[in-house]
Amino acid sequence: MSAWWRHRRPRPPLDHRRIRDRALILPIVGLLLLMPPIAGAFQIDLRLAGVPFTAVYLFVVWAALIAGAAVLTPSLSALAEEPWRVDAPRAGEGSDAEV
Amino acid sequence: MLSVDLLLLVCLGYVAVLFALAFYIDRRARQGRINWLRSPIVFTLSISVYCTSWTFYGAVGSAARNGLEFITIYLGPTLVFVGWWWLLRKLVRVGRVHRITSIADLISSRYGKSSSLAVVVTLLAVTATTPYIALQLQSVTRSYQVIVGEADANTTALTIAAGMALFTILFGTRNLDANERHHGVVAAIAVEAIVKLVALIAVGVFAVFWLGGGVRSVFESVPVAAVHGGAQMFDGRWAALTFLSATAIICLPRQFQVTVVENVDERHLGTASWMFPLYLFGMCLFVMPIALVGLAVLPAGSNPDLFVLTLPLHHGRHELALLAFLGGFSSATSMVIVAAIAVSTMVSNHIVMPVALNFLSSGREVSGDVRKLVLTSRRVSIGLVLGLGFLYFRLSGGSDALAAIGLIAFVGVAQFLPSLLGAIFWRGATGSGALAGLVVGFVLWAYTLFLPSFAGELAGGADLLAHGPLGLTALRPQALLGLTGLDPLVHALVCSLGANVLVFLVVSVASEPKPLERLQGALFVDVFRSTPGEPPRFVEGQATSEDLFVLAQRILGTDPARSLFDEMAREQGASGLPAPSDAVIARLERELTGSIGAASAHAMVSRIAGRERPALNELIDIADETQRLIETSRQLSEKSAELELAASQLRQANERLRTLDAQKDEFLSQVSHELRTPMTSIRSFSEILLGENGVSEQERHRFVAIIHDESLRLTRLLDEILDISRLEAGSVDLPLEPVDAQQVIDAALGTVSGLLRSRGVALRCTPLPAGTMVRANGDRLRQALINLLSNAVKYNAAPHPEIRVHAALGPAHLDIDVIDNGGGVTPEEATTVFEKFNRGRRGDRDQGAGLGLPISRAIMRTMSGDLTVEFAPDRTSFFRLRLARAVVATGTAAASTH
Repeated sequence: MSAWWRHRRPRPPLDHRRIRDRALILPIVGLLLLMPPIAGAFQIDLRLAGVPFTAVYLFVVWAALIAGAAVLTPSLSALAEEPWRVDAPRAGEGSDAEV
Repeated sequence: MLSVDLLLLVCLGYVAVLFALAFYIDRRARQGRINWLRSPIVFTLSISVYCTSWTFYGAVGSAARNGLEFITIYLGPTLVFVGWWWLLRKLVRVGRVHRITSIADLISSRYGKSSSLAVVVTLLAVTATTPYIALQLQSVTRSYQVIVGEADANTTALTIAAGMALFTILFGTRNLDANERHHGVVAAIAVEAIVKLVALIAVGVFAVFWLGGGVRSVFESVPVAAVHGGAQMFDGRWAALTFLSATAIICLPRQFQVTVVENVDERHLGTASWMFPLYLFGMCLFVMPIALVGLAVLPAGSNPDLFVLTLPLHHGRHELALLAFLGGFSSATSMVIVAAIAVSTMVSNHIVMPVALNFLSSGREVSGDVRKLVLTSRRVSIGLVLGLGFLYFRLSGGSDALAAIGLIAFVGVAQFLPSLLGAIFWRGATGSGALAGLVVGFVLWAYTLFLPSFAGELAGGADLLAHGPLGLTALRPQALLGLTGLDPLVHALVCSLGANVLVFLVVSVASEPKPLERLQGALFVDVFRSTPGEPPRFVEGQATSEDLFVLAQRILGTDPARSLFDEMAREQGASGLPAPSDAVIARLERELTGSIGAASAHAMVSRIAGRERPALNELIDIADETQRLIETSRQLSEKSAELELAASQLRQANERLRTLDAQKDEFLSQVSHELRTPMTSIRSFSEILLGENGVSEQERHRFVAIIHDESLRLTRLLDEILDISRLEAGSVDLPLEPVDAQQVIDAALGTVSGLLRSRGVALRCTPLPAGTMVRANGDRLRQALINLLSNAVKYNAAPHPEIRVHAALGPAHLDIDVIDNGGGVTPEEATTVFEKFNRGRRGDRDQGAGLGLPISRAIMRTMSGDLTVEFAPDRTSFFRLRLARAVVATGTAAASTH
């Protein structure tokens, strides 16, 4: 695909909104895959190496969520960089600018 | 069989290690050397206090009975944590900014620092936590009994409860940390978290690879349906359980304590977002295999809730059984400790302290060390909470009904959810709404879930469940309003939480928030937008600094209070005590909030600082609602200014269009007038000729000559009109080239020389230096010159007409002046002479259409030059042609010859 959007004017601080919106992906995907309508489709009488397929499915989705969170966290944490350290010197509090 | 002595020894040794660790960490923390404790891993491990003995033992039991359903309890928290950015982060930030000490403190603080709300939340938390603590006592007691054989359950439970109370009091109330943080406790439960994970995995590995013979053989012997735990495992109950556990990870007082209150760095939340689900994943991985192996290997009728312990015990692996026991012990104790701290903080801050303060202030003056009072009340509360737990355990007789208490407690604390979400996401939420929703949800929870859980053991309880109170079947606890066919848990959840949300919404919308609520609402909801620092507050100040200092001293202790006041004085640049400004009072209240909760701190500071003024205007001023209004109106006025500008530009454009339109009309009418005159004479003369009567040959000849002349004039006029309109429209492409100016002037003079001679006009011409080149179109320049010259001749009525052509070289241009002595034009006429069809006062109709000058000027402008009327110092006027010089051309020509 030619990916026309790649050619748009580059916006230097890879827009915060896009990073932030990524944080929505995991809970929503997790909810869809683990909740009744869709998850029901994976409750089948099948075994993978002896283990019932449903159990494998649940743990695989779970592991994928964890991996996804581990991948997304660095960029999100960088966004949340405002240092609200508890025991930071109090006099400096006013200079901790908000995003 | 393990000996009692050994077990006791191991237990005591383990507890001693925990005490020592907590003691060591606390000491280091006070010396400020706990940087390694501030790691996200410790934070994550402390969150795993979520996994109680209900997880450690109960999950296997649940898996043995209901298959994979137990996973829902861990999927909910996983979803919440992978979506940490949207909810948990905001909770933690709010907790940090407003020095929140508990969930009751958060809700009360948000809804106008309401103490009644705090009391309700506290009571609800105590009610939901007490049986949960009892459950932990029970599980430790049972596991103890399993190992050592029969032992007095009450003594065991009492010993454990007392030990936990001691630990909690020692390390939970060592000092009044202004931030309500307990480093020693956190370190201890982090260690316990590792112990329980290792223990469960060790038992799992033992069960699967020693007893079960590998993963395949463990699963192969059981039907798939047993693992599914039902024909339709992803049903309403599945969704409800996941939702419940997601709610619990936010609303359980102990989870709130470790996630929000004990958090030292917001970014740890990011790491926990995947590490905590990973921890849960590890805890769950072996649950199902252990259950299956236990069902297969252990004698029929064994309690699946204790498989984790009985599996190794049954096979003589005593060291593993001991590890499993320690794992269960760790799960139970860490839950009890944190829950006791969390709930006792609420009880102390929101129930005991207000009563005590009221009692004290009704005496003479506030006397005594309040700080000591706070600590005492905290300790008493811990004893109270654990005592209640033990009492519940004792009264329920350690029945199996306790096993279900985990989920019951979850539904109970789920009642906090609407108020909590409303607190940080909805400005419109009011205290009355939160209070009404909580009370309704609480009552329905107690009636539909809590009561039925032990109703069987009450007199008439079974009857109540079956037929409803007084035989009113519509009010049956497990089928409210005839809502049957639902799982009892789902039924209770839907009823209580549904009613809670509904009442919360309706009452919030219907009620008017108090000013303080409105302010707090803005501060909480927009916590990421407000500048970090103290939330503003306004009191009418008659406070004296001495009073405030005494207050701070009593609650924070002498030294912390002194250093706080010194710091504030330094910030003000004052020596001694700081002036009681709003900032000082707000700061003090915030510091006190960390110790005694928002409602109490607010009440105490307000009492000393003077009557609070409910100045609606001021409060709304600072609530950034107004800020936003100002911003909006600023943007609006900017926009309207822009619109006005655009409108005035449009008006100007319109004006110009009108003028142009009028000029066009005028031009057209002039053109038609000009065309009409020759046309009329042509027509009338040709009519005479057509008449044929009495027209002599000579006359006929004359008439035809007139017709001919007029036609010529007409043609010339049309040519000129065409020419000027093309020139003015810019559609004539004049090729510009370097031309010799003198040659053009000579050619033009040659053309008009006949005319000059016939009129006897004298001509004087200053010659230019040879080779003066200009950028122009030679023919057109000549046309313009001829035009000027012939005008000068034709309109010259002087007795001795004279024309001077004077060319002057400028640095970049050439001026050709055409000067005549015919009287010139007045300054007023100087602009009108260039209008079309203007013949000037000197002209008459025979001498041209009045297009000569406009055409000449258009020609000059097309060649990037100009034609203007200039005035000499003696006020006589002359025409000046200005052209750009073609300097380069001569230069390059000269260069190329070398």
